[in-house]
Amino acid sequence: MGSYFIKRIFQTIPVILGVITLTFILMYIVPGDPVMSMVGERYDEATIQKLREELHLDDPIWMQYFRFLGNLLHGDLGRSFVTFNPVLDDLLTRFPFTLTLALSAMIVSILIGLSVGILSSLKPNSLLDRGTMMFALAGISAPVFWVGLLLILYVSVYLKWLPPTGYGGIEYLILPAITLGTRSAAFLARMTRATMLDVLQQDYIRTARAKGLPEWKVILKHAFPNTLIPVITIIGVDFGSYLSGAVLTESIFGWPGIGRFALDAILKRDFPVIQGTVLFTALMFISANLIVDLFYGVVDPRIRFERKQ
Amino acid sequence: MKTKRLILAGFFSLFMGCSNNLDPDTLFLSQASDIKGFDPTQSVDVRTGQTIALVYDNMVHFGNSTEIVPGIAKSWRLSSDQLTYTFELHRKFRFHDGTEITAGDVKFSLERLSNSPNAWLFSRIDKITLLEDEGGFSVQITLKEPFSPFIQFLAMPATAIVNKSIAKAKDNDLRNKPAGSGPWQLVEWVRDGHMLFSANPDYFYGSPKLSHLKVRIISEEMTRSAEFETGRLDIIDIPQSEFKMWITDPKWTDLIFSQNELSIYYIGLNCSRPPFNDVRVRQAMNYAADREKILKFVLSGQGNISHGVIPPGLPGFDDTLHPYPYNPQKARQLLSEAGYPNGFTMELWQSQASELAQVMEAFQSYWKSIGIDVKIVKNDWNIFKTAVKEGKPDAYYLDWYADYPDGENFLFPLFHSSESMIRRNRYSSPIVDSLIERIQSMSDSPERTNLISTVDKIIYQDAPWVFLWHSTSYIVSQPWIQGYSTTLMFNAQKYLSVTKELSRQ
Repeated sequence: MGSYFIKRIFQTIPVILGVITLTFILMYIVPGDPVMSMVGERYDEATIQKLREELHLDDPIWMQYFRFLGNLLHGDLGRSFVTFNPVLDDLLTRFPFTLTLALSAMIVSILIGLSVGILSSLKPNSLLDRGTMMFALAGISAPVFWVGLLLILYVSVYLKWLPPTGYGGIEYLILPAITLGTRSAAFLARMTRATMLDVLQQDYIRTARAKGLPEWKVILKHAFPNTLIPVITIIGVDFGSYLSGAVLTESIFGWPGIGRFALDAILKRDFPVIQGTVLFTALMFISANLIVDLFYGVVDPRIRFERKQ
Repeated sequence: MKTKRLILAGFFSLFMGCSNNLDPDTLFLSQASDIKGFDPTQSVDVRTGQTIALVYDNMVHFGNSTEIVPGIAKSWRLSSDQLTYTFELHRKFRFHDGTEITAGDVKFSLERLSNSPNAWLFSRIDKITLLEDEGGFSVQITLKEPFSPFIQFLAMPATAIVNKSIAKAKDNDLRNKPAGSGPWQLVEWVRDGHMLFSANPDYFYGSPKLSHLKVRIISEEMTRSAEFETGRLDIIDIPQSEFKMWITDPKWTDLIFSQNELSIYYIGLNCSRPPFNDVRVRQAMNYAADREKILKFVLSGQGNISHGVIPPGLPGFDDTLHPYPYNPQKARQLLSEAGYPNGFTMELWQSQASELAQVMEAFQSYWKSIGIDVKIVKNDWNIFKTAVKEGKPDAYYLDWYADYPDGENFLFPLFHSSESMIRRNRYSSPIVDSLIERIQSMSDSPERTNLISTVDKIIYQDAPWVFLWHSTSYIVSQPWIQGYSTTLMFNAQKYLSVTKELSRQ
């Protein structure tokens, strides 16, 4: 297992390098000028030239690229063109917000998605099944900003149960977590239902029932664990994307996470921040996938065995 | 170790960041995005400027209207050759750390401008002299040439006075740690989250009445409204898209403040190449669109149609003039005379925002009716600004807000060829140039005001723009807010006399 992970970690190096290179090329192809974000409506040309020199923007692209790589090897992601703060510091202070939102959204998604999926698979084509699957379809189709604004309107403005936006306690987390987790919950419900229906047809389930096990035991002990591989895959991918920031949810709920940070940097052509957030995103996806792989081995011992072979 | 500390700090602010929003001693405000930082010389946008004004002070202040009132400077005089300002500073005007502001801080703060994005403000200064014989509280600023708006430069956020000893200290970072003397002191700043300030108990002009002020960063207009409706924000700008809802709701009508802004919205026409190098075509563009209707129906009437560049409220605004009337026949006739009887095609650039799209589409359809085929090009602000600078768009939609309340600020940066030819719509008129230069050197007088009106009229006839409107902003406050009033200049607002009486809910 250990050597497998070391191998996987080495495999990520070309991925990271590819991401850095591609982002670099894209940043220089896209029109716009970072210096324009640093000056106001009034400026003189000497100021523009001085800023370009300070930021090394007139250096050849390859020189900028290798300077970035060199700094990266020292753990330095550079400083923001706009705020002049070290990019790494800004990423680290925003990460707890992003991580908390991602974890809460995953909890919402897993609780709703799995329970709805299992329930509707038990009585396929029943009213309950059709109803929940319709909701799941609606959950997948509903745009995040629409769900978020509706929740704010009903739960906060009309019912006054929860604060509309902000942070500072569990009450601030509920609405953004539901908003962000709904779509993933809907996917999960559909996936769980489909896999459960398939598993419930298997011989070992018939055997379990034949030996007189109570139905809840058949479902939870024999059927459910066998649905987990695709379910964990979905959770892993979603978690990776949540960890890289959820721009819309963060914007609607005034959440100072990495998504808003990245969006703002893109709009201002803040190259070091764009590069930093893209790199961070890539690392988050890679980590989420590694964790998923680890879980495969936990839920299905055959996977561990095959790898040893 | 540092990594761990930063992450822990993030978690701490995540769970401890918010205080009770019905706190009677805290004023809750919001902004759409975070500021650049607390270094005044880096202040190039309104939000940063508003925040700088809370924690710093200037030599002079903008009053509630166009007047200049004393700030750190008690008094000042201008030499007869209009070149040298001599300022006498208040004694015992203290920075937040208790040290007294001296002429040395003033010189240091202004000289910092020369190496900043606001270097243009410093470019008028020849030298700054400390008058040591008067105890370090007098300073002379000598200009390279007479420039009457200079005193107003000293009230702008970028010219705020910083604490020299703190700013010069090693490892000091003014961007994150302000060193000012203003009415509010920074307590906490969660980037993209909120800024919390406490009242400066020793503020020279009297401590603010509330003990704290919290500015929350909420990027969505609708969520800002929801926060206000649930009583968690005390004062908000009414979003343009929700204007009718607020203005017609009897619950709020008495709590709405309106403020005519020192602004001009316009469509700049690239005068350096066909078809807009012909004044008749430019005038035709002005005649061909019913701006009254667009302002009324698309923007709910939030502004006044312009008949020149100078906004109402500024000396030089001439209310006897009339805007270009909506006259499509006249527009067609002018186009024919200019050699475009069948119209032409053009690109109209705008930066992205939904209400802009509706405004631009309205103009597009009016101009289509006289044969002008308009392609709307939308881009983000950065691309847009770069393209305008490079003179790429045939026409572009933009606005201008006053840096300081003087007609010169609406003439020189927008129409003087040294500015317009390199970063705006390539308008060049030797007469306009020389008159603007005269205005710059004249001291405040009826003659100067008349000259501003004259230049405004010449420019309006020359039609380098399609002149649109001067905006009006609408602000709503909670019923428990007392002592709040709007100010003409954005950085004149310091919330000194605002109080909260929660019993008035």
